[in-house]
Amino acid sequence: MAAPPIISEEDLHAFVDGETDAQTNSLILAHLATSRADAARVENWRRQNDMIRAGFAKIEHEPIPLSLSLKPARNLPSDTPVRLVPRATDAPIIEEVSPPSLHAGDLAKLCAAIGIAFAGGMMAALVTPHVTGPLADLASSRSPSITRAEDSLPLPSQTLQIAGLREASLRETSLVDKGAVPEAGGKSKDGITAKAPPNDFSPAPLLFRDLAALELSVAGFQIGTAERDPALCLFLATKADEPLTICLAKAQAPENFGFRTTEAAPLRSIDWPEKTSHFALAGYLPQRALMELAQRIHARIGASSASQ
Amino acid sequence: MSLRDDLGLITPRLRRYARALSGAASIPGETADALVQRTLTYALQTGPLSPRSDTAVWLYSLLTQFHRDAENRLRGAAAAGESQSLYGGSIGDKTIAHAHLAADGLGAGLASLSLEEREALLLVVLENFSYSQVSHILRISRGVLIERLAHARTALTNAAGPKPSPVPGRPSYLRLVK
Repeated sequence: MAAPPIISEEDLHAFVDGETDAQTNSLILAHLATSRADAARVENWRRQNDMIRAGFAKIEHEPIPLSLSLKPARNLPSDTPVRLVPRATDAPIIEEVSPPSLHAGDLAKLCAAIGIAFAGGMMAALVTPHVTGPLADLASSRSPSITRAEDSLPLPSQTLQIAGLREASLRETSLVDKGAVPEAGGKSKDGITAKAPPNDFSPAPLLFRDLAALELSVAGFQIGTAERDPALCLFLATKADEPLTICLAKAQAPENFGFRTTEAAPLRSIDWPEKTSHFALAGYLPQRALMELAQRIHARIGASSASQ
Repeated sequence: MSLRDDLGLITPRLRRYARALSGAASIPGETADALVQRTLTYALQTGPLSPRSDTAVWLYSLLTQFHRDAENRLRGAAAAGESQSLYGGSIGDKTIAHAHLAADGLGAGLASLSLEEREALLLVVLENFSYSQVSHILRISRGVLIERLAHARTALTNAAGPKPSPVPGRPSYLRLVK
């Protein structure tokens, strides 16, 4: 009668880590049935494995910081009826008409359009680069195929609220409903100032308001629909028609201020914390030009929030 | 699928590994993200070594090496008597690297491991790589890998303290499966 095969410690580790084949597994199980000491060790190692996996499990599902975002321009899925087409992509552009630069009033309409989408309990990212029609046109362009009930999407709503976009947008929506569309500077035609309440830092409306002053035009925007997405991304163009993308997200934790640069030539990005938000600016501009723009945005956002 | 797409998909896993591996910063997530950012940036600049290479193995190799470089700089700074780490936290010896995790049993256990043992254990257990892949990432033989795993598991057991012995006659590895 043949002697039973000797099971080494190496075999036991391989068994716990799933490195053994079915035949070896049978041999090891037979061995463990007769060796309480080894069985206890194996069980202990399995518990350790479970603890390690459980201890770090939630990290994989955390939102990705903007500093690690690799896509300067995000596209909606190709089957989305109304495409969001930033100009700095290799995706086919449906219409070859150059999008006009948007004026401050148009920016307010963009803001209000987001508000309408959310106020109606819908989630939508549906703006074409050509925002020339009245506000009603924007609202009616919402596609049933990409709308869902708000209660099934608690996070985007929450992140937008934290980013300051939703609250301000709703406020502007109510003004729009009364026929008082806000103009540049957050002031409506009837003199009502559409401003965030004191101590409520609202970076998104501030950014919208200051784009014209920064000589940037909007080619489109995208609202984060997944937990890992930024709350809001704007696809911009400089006066020289250089494409840029700026994204806002809720800061994961209080951060010390500093500009952080990532370069994956020819693409560069700069990200920085802004109170309760995190900004990321990406584009193909030279490093110096991109940094200057980031500093200007920071200066304007910082000054605006300080005056609130 | 482009390299950029691959990187986007694997970034959450890289963050998890980096977070488990490093802990020297006062804000651990920031340190880990700095490592991941460096890895992604390097990967985008250089591209994979060959089209057939395993992207995940390559990225984990990069991140592991960058983390080792950072640890070496920390140790050098500690030997020079500097009190600040690369990421702003105070340093003294290797166990401080996981001081932020030491509040719980798992953190204390990981803090008790050498860097080499921690790398091996995390790659096999947390990241679910095969022994062959981990041998490639760490550039060690299978035998050395298992030796490190054995040391790591023993150290974790010792760090956790004595456990109550199982009930006589009822081996704990046998479970009722319904």
